[in-house]
Amino acid sequence: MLELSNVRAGYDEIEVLHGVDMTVGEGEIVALIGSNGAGKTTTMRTICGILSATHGTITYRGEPIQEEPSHEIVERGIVQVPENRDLFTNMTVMDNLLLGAQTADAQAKRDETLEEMLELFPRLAERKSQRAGTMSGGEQQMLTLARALMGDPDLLILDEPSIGLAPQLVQEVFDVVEEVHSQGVTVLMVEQNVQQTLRLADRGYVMENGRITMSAPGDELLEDDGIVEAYLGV
Amino acid sequence: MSTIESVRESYRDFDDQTYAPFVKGVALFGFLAALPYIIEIDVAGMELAATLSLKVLILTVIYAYTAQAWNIMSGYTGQFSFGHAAFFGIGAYATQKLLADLALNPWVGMLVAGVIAAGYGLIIGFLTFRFKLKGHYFALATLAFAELLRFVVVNMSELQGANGYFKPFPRDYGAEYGLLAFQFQSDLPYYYLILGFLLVVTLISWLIKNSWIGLYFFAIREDESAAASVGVPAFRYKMLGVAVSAFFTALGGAYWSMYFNTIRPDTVFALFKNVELLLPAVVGGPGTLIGPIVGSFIVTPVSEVARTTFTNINGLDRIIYGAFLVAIVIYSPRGVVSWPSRARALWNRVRSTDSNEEVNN
Repeated sequence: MLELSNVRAGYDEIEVLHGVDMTVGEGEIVALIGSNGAGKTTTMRTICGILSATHGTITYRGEPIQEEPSHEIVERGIVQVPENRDLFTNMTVMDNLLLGAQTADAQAKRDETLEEMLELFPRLAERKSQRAGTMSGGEQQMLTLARALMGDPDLLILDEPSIGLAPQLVQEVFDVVEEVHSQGVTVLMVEQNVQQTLRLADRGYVMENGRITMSAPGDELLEDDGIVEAYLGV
Repeated sequence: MSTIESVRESYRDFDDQTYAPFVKGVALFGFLAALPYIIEIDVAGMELAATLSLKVLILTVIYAYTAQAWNIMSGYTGQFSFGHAAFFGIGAYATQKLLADLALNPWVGMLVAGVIAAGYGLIIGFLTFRFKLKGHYFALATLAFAELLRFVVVNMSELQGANGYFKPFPRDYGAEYGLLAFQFQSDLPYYYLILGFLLVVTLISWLIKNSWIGLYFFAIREDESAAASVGVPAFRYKMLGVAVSAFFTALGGAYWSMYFNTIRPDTVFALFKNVELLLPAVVGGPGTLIGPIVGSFIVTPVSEVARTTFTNINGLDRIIYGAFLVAIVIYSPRGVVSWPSRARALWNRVRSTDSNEEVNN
C-alpha cells in the first residue's frame, strides 16, 4: 500500500533521514520504533508531505506521492495524527471535528462519521461546544484521534498517540486503534510504549540514526531480548 | 436570580434561535438608516447635528465598509495587511480613469476596478504566501506593495501624475444626477448608498463566517501548519481571502472617488490611508462581524470632529488615531466588542471574592 524507497529528508541543511526503506501492506498495523532523534517523526512528516523528500521515492497504491503538498496526500486517504496534537485550541471541539473531514468522500458521509465519533468518544460528545484548548491532555488526544478519523482515512498515521497520558488513557488509545483497525483501516504508528505497540502490530521497524536497521513481525521483535534492550530502552 | 441574570438568560435563549442574526441585522441597519434623522433631533436646545454632520456620518460608514472588507482577509485568516490602500487606490483610480477615457458608467467601472484590485491582491498573495511571509514581515510586504503603487501613479502622466483626477459631471458620460450616474446633488442619497454597500459586505462577511470557508479561514488564522496537516489547502484559501477583500476594498475606493470631487495619489494611496482602512476593525474587534462597524463609529467621528474643531492644531486627527491604536493594541487586542464579556468576567470575579469573604466571616 505504502512504500518508501531510499528516502532522504530533513530540515534545511540538516539531513535527518539517510535513505529509509519501508513498506506498509493493506490492512496491516505497522510500528516504527527507535530511540529519540532516530528520525521517526521526520519519517511521518515526510510521508504526509509536511517535509519534502530530497531523494528517493514514496509510492502509495503504486503512485508516487513525494512531490505532493499535504492536502493532496490527505485527499488520497492518508491522514496523520501529529505528535504535538496540533489542535485548534481556540476553536470548539465541534469545529475541530468538522475540520477533519476534508476530502469529498469524507464530507459526503460527514454527519454519519460524526455520530460514530461521538459514540466512540462519549467525552467529546459532552464537550462539543467547549474550546479544545480548555480540555485535559487525554481529552485533547482523543479529539486529535477523532478528528483524524473524521477524514475517513485508508491509512492512519499516528505519531506517539499515547505520549504523556495516564496508563488508563494509554489503554483507551490502544483500544481505539484496535477498533479502527478492525474496521479495515491500515495503521502506521510511532510509539514509545514499545511492548504494547509490538503486541498490537503485525510488523515492526527499528530505526536508528535515520536508517531502518531491522524489520520483523512484532512478536519476534518482542522476544528478541537484545533488541528490546538495545533499541527500545526497556 | 437577579434581574440582570434573567435578562441575560432570555438573551441567550434568543441568541440560540436561527432568526437571531436576522433580527440583529435589521435592528442594526434600521438604526443606521434612521441615524441622519436622529442626529437632527433637538434635545434641550442641542442638536447632535451641530457637531456630527451628515458628512461625518458618510465618512464613518465608508470606513466601516472598508474595515469590514479588510476584516474578511486580515481578521478572518489572520494575514495582517498593512497595505489595503493599494486596493482602495486602485478602486478609485480605475473607476475615474475608465470614466475619463471611455466615459464608462461608474457602476461598471467600479466592478472592473474591483477585478483589477483582486488581481493585484493575488499577485501580492502569490509572492508573499509562496515564500511563507508571516506576521510583521507580511504586514511590511503589503505596505511596500501599497507604497509602490503610490510612486508609480505619481510618476505616470497617463494617470495624471500627482494632479490626479477631477470627477466629471454626469452629463460628461451621458447620464443625469441619480443612482445610475452614481452622483447626487445632496449628501443624503450618498449616505444611503454607502449604507447599502455596508449591508452587502456585511452580509457576505456573515455568509463566509458561517460557511466552510470561514471554518478554513479561522483554522488558518489559528495554526497554519495544523490546518495544513488536516488537509486544509491553506495557500488557496489565503488567496481567496485576499481576492475577496481586495475586490470589496476597491469598491470602497470607487465610492470615495464618486463622492469627493478629486482623487490624488496623496489622498487615496496615502501612507496614512492604510491605517485608516484597518483601524476601525482593530479597535472594534478583528475577526468579528460587528467589530468593524462599531470601531468605525468610535474612531471616525472622534477624529473628524477633532480635525474640524481644532483647526489650528495640524494633524490632531492623526494623533488621535495613533492614541487609539496604541491603547487598543496594549489594553484590548480583541477589540471593543470583547468588553461586555470581559466586564462580565470581572463582575463574576468580584462577586466570587465577595461571597468567599462571607464564607470566611
